[in-house]
Amino acid sequence: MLRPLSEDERLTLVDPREFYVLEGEPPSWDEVTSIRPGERRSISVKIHVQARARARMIRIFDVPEGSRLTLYHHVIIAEGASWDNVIGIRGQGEVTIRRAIDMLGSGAAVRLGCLANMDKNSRISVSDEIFSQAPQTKNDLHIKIVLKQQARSEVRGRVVVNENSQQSTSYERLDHLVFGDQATAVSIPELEVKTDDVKCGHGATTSRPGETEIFYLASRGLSVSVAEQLLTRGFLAGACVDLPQEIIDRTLDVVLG
Amino acid sequence: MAVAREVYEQASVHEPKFTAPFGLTRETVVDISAQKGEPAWMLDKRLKAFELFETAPFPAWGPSLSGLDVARITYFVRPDTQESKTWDDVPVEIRDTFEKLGIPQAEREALGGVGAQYDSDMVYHNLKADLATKGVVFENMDVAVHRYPELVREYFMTNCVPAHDHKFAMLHAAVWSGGTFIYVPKGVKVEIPLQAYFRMNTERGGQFEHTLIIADEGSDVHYIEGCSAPKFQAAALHAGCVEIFVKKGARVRYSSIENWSKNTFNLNTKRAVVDEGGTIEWLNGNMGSGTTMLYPMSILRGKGARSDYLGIAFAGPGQFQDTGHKLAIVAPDCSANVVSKSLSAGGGKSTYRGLVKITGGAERATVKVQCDALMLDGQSTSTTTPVMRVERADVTVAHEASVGRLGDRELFYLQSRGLTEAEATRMLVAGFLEPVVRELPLEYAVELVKLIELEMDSVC
Repeated sequence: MLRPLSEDERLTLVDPREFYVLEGEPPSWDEVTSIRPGERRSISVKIHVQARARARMIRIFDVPEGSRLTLYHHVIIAEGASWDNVIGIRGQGEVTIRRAIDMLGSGAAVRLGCLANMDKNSRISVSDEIFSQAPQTKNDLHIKIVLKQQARSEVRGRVVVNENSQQSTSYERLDHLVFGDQATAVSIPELEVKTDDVKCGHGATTSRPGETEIFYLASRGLSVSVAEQLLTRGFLAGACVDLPQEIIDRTLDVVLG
Repeated sequence: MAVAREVYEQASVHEPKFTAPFGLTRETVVDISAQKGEPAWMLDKRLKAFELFETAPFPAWGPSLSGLDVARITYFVRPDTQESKTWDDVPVEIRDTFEKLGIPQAEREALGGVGAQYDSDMVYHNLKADLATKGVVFENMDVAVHRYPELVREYFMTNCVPAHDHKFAMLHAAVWSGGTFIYVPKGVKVEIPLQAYFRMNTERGGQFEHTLIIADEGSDVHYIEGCSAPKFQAAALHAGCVEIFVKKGARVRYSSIENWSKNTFNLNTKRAVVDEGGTIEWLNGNMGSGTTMLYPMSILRGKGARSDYLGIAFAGPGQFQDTGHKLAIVAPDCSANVVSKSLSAGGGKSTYRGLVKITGGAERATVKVQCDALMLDGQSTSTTTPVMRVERADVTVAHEASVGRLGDRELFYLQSRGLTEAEATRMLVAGFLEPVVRELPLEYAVELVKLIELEMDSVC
């Protein structure tokens, strides 16, 4: 069974032999982690999702000003197995996320989400790499980041579909919603496809909240700030990859503070 | 126009009057400048660029350039002729080459002016009289250095593509030869396109033509470039440079179909600087060359400037087409639209490598990027690497990409109507490319489609 990591394991790189093995019924766990002001937290996780297992991990972090969070995931997905992972960030500090996914078995599936609400002078760097190395794999990557004030974001999503990944599908989406006039958003959606019998796509957008949508909500009696909050909530919810509604609500409550 | 592979790939028999020794030395750079009788400032620019080139590293990214031996390239080859204004004065073997490529015919039927370059020198240049009387300048770049020194000194590799920009811009600045200089006066609309054709005919040769276009305020011009080279055993190098200045309210359309032979390294630089209300339109087709690294760039520096880019790349067996569009927006209310289509077949590799950079001054910028890749077999590779850097909130930037193969259902439908699989494939590929092809003048659209069919013949 997948289990929460101990504090010691979070602070050091996990030995590559120590996989978190999943068998049988789909396990799941979720957790809200608050980083202390000034703290430097590094968490490394290595996960092996065994054949036909289903696993889900939701991690939500509150990263205050002056603190730093570094998160490493390496996930190996075997034949017919699936892995859902959502990371939520409420950030005023510095956040680095690195997720590497190896889809080794035929029919492996992965859904990755990341939603972040970055404020003040915060920084977030997300780099997700998905390697499809077997036929009929399926992956979805959705990253949604809200930038306020002087927040900066660099998001890279890299999907590699190898020669033997026939009949695989892949989609990645990197979106920024920008409120801060001094905010900076960098999006790099990469797609490397080495076989033809696949369907792959990616999309990326950077914009502020739509004036039409704000006007619509305001015309129904909402203030502009409430309208913006609603739109922000809807924007971030898109990264929650079909989680149950109560989990989405809780995640958004924490991320939006 | 008949398009056959041998038209492009057969070398002409013409003895050049001068061939520089292999490799690049300071003496070669001085000799190029001396043979052209250039002013001291141009020689100085060449030598500074040569010094930079000597120490600059090769790019650490993109396709491998290990097959390019810069010490085994000849950087300056002069055909045994002078530039002419009539095709009758061009040596018969060179004229035959351009006749086969359809250049004189296109000039008669559809062009306002034509330049034809053979190895390092222009051999033919002509502009229709009515355009000349309007003040339009369409010259060989070498001639322009002498005839329009103030303009050339101000615009040539200064703030559009500076000579120190990258290793192959440095090389270009050191050994450039020939190319096109266009100046369109204020308010003048050039109704029919101008064209230049560049033909590289020497084994282990290099071609380094320079194109400088200045479209003054409110003017309008469409310029077309075509390129080809015969197929030899040894590698050849093309490192041209295109600089376009689009002044206030002007519009420039730049169309290019590059069909270098498969042993050519095409390491080209193209860039446009667009002022207030100006528009640059790129249409870029990359068919030939073994390795291409080409990323036309628009710098929108005036309020309300606009850039449109349409690109097609075909990567067949042994080819690596690394192309894309770069965009820098530094002024308010600018917009850009990028559409890129690539085809990979027979183990070819195609990469879209793009950049959208929106700085703090680019209020209300709107950018849309779409790149689609079609893979015709399971041995090929398609990669998209777009980078979007946005430093403002009130902008809209969107990117969409898709990679896939021809649909089985569509192929089946067409075959059930009596088409062979090859015919159905061609028809679907033509449909995939149609948004780009329809923007070309008819005769060039036909040529482009036929070139792609030729490439597909070798893999389908």
